Amino acid sequence: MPTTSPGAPAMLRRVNDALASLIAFLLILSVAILIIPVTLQILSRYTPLIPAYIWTEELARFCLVYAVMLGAMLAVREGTHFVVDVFPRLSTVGEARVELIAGSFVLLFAFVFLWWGWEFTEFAIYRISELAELPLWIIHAAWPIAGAVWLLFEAERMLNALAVLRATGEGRA
Amino acid sequence: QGTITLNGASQFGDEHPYTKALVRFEELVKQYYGKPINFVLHKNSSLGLEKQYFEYMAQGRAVDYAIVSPAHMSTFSKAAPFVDAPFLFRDVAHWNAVLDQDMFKPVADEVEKRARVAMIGYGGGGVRNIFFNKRVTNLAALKGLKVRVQGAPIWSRTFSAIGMSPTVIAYNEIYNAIQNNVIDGGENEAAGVEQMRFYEVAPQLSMTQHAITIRPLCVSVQTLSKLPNDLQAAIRRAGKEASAFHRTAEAGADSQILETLEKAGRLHRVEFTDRAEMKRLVDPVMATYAREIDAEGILNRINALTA
Amino acid sequence: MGGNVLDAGSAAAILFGIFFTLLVLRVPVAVSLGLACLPILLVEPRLSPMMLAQETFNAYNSFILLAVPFFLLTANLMNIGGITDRLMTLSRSLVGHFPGGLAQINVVLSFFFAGISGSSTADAASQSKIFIEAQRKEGYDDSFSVAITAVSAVLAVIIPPSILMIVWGGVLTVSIGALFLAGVIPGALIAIVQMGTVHAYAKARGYPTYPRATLGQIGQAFLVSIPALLTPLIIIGGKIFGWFTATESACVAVLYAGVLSLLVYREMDWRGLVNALGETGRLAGITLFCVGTASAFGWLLAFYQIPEYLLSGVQAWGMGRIGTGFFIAAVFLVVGCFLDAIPAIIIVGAILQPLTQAVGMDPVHFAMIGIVSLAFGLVTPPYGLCLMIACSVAGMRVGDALKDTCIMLLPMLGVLALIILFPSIVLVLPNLVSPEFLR
Ligand code: NA
Ligand code: NA
Repeated sequence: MPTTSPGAPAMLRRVNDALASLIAFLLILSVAILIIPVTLQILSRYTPLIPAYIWTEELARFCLVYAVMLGAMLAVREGTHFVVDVFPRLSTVGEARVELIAGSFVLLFAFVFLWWGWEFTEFAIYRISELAELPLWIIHAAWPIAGAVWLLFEAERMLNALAVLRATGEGRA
Repeated sequence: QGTITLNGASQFGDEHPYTKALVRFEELVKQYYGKPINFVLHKNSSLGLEKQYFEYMAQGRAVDYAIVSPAHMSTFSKAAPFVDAPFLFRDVAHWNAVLDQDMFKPVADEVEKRARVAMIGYGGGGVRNIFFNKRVTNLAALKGLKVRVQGAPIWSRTFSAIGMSPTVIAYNEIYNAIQNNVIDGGENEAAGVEQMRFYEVAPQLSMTQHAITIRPLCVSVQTLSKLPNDLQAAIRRAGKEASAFHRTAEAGADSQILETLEKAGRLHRVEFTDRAEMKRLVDPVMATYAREIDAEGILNRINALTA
Repeated sequence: MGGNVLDAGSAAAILFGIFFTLLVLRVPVAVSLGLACLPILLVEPRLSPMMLAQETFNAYNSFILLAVPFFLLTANLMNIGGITDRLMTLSRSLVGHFPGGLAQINVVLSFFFAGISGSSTADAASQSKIFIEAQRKEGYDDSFSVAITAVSAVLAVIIPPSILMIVWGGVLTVSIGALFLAGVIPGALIAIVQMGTVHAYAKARGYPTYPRATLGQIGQAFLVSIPALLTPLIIIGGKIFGWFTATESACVAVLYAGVLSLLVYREMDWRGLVNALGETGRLAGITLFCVGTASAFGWLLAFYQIPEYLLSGVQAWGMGRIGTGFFIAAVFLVVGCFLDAIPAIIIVGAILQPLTQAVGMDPVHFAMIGIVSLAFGLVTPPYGLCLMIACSVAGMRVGDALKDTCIMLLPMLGVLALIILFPSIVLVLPNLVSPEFLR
């Protein structure tokens, strides 16, 4: 077993680390905010002190959208998206090969989200949300952002896997 | 190129006036076009909800025609919900006159420009009333009651103006919210009351007649522009007539549904005595709203119409 | 705008073919579901891959789904705030002396947890961390530990509150209050047969037992647990007395768990809270992201009218009420293997409803057959969220836990059969407590 050789370039790692921390922070924030509009919505029915805002329902939904998308972005970095495992337990090399195969499909998926997510965002560009009248593209933008972030995260994972394959290949040669 | 196929969508099943109107549209297009053409109507919300049908038509994808409440067009055009705003019409005759004179053309043009969806006919005609689990006959009794209204700002503003406390709750949570007294009532036309079985939890229907619905039959402009000219003409003609059919069907269905439910002892119509006073309270709110969305001219013409 | 390029049969073949192929290649489930849609979205001139964005957005942009992160957060707050510990002590004093004591506690803790949370994924995630390692240390087989943790987690959506009941009630207009009450007895029955299963396993394999707790210990464990045990009363009471809607009740569960953790048991600190929020976001992201791509997948099934095509002619079979019940259960059990329960209710529930009306089945009975079957789908692969969560915590492959999971499902299927044969199992409580809920 060779020691893990540096796979992805250090620059990519640093960018991804910073990105992951930022996403984790925003994720925590969006889950925390989620509680506020719903609590306001309940309380407003019982006390005149809190006005019955009509945007609470919409704000809660948009927080949920962002929480889901941020969580899904982070899961690629952390490798926690669910997989159904049918292979027998694999060696390090086998793991790396599977990572490369499965990873290329994740890249394809990320590209779909980036490319058509961009179209999806453009489709919302002059539109405003129904209740809070927020610009709708801000919400739709989560899709191309997710695509771009996945490309970066998955690229790092695949470069690492490639390095494992290369290192063992040299070891055998 | 093979036979042209058009895909429609409805949230409802075969018995609902919307679905019936869409089926009539299909028949009429076939009749006027005279050449082979296929229709696929996706019923029972299988392709999602009206709001999504509209987005698909705007994208020129998946759904080619559907009946959509103007409230769902608001993200494209702020003026769209005005078409269906509460307290706009004095009665069904007034409503008919407004539609006959095509007074909403400026709004329809804006929607077509921004969303690329054409309204080829105006159906609807459901009279909306408020259902409660207790008898409410006048304005004083309405005071402070929590009622679920549609998620467009004009609805909560007008309902606040008449002293109610409007609440925004997801459409599919209304039934349970009333049952559990989270809210006192909701508002809808007869077909909606029957479809969602609101009468089970709120059998007292206060006949406020605060709104008469307009439900445009919409076609995706992207679809339409790719069709042969004779088919486009057939669709436009069929759209008008199917919508006229929709209006008669809904007006008939409206009272028939209420009568059937009342006979079965499931619902009681409660006379509401303060409708004129209610409209008077709302008028200034409507005027402000019309000014905000540049629809003052339309509102004035509607109000001036004596029918 | 011509006709569809693909017919229903080939569309179904593409969707399922690609989905399974990618699963075998170890592509994440959510990605596999999304990519299965891609060729169709590209090939059909009337569709576009942008609909993948549109349909996932539509799925997440739903007020009802908010209940999922709220229930997950409740579970995390319970863990860090000391509520889970108290309930664990109580469970241990009650059933620790049965054969397979720790696994019995696993089931009973899920039963208590189910009364507070409506999300099975939350239960699977938190209890996998507690039990799998602990059971491993006491000599339980890993596949057994994973399987019992996963199957006991399904109780969370059968016993009220329940995200599936909230969705079902909203989509098919059934009283959620009645569904909540209807779930109590089936949930208890399933917990009992699971304890029986553990008993059989423990006898056969010699799993360990704890000493019996004294009455004093039981009493003490019960006393400290009272504030936590009150949660179901607040949630169900809140629904019955109209303090909040079903979705809001999940938020109330969060607030109550927060209050208990901060003020009553006082074990939550700032760090713990931040971690709980992070954990909640991560798991909500993973599970709901799957719901989104599964919805897109389901949307295409609906677009080609594949379910109608498969179910056409069923009415002509002339099944009676019981036959229809078994048929519905079978459909939902099969669907539950491939689709998330939430899109399954939206797509399949509406199609099956007329069938049940034709044979005069009570809507609450229909709902419970559907919900229990879909709950079992949470542990049936390839798309079995709870099983996947438990496996990932245990660092195990889904395939290795399959045999024990299937064995444990057999008696649970027996309970499902009882529910179908005897509607009163589900209807008696709603009738008793609030007959006005049933009409
Ligand atoms: Na458990
Ligand atoms: Na539960």
